Amino acid sequence: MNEAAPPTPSQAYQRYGPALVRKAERVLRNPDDAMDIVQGLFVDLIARPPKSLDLPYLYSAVTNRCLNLIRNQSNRSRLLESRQDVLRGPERTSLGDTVLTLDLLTHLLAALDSKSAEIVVYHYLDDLDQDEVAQQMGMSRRAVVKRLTKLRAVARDIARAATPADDAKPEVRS
Amino acid sequence: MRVECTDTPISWLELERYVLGESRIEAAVRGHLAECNACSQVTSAIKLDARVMPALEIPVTGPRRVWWRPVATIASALLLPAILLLVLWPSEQPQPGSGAKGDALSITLVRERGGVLLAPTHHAPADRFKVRVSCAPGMRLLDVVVRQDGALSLPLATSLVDCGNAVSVPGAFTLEGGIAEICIQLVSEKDQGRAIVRSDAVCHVLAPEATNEATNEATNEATNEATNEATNEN
Repeated sequence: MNEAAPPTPSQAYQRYGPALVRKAERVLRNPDDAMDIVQGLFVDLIARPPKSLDLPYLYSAVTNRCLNLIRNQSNRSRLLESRQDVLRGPERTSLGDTVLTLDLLTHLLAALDSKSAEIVVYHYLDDLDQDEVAQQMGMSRRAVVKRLTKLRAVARDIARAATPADDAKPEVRS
Repeated sequence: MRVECTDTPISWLELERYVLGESRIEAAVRGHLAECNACSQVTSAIKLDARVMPALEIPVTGPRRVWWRPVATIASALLLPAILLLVLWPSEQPQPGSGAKGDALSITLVRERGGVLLAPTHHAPADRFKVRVSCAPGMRLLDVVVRQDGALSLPLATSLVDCGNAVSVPGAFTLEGGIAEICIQLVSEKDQGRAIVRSDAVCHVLAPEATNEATNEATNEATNEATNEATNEN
């Protein structure tokens, strides 16, 4: 069987770029920042091409870049002010009674380590199931389940601490 | 918008691959989509979003700084005898090696406000910071980490830097809040993009700039003191 040659970074940019921008928009809720993240990634990949350039690898790279952007305090405030929640797309995986808004995501990032933060994005925004998250992150399913249990508890605590008057805090679904 | 899937939702990643014709479970996905309105909705959203990626702006990597080549040629011609003399001189000259200038990692911050460069001692929301790094020659991965108000963040994406003297790290950032410690660290491909400060990181501390009121008070106090001193001397 003849396998197609792996794409060059430029080919991968044209082929996977739209999927990656959609993914970055789901996390950041801002089209300009999403495009910047994807373009920045490919500029780096062209300078230093990796061995593999498939969609799961690129998904992982975009996830990390989005999380790094949100972790920065000034970026976070700007994103919260300019968010377009429609870019989240249909929500099919729920976080219990809590809606994973951008506010809640920023609060979670402050409370979780980088691996758990990645899991939040894969499971609740990209709708990967536990097996897929484990495969994507090179972890055991058991470790993923353990982290998901812990982060649900953290999300509940954050949501409980939120007050309706303070719109910088996460929303809680009634 | 919350939509209910009939079973376990098919991930965006798998649906993107399905639309691209790269799914390894194509039949299963097709079967699920025939029954699930929620996942069909996501698939339609992917198919309808027919965006075209804009051209990439690749930084110029062609021949750079050609102007210095003649200067370098002349300088090397002049320096060669001196270097030979140093190498062959049988005296207690220090040996080249560790500790040579340029080997150590160092950070310089560029603070810019409204087109004016300021001393990188403080930060204010209107300031824009760029990082310059000096490191031993070679291509290195570098992370910039900010420690502020007890939290660590990465204001810039991991950069691949062609190390040398005062090399600019791509991108710029702003700061708000309390005392900020800006750290740079060379990282491996595996460790890149992690919000941690390693023991070998090199950091620069910036204090938040005093408000106008505080600055005015400080200036008034200084002026009063100076006036009092002058009066006492008289």
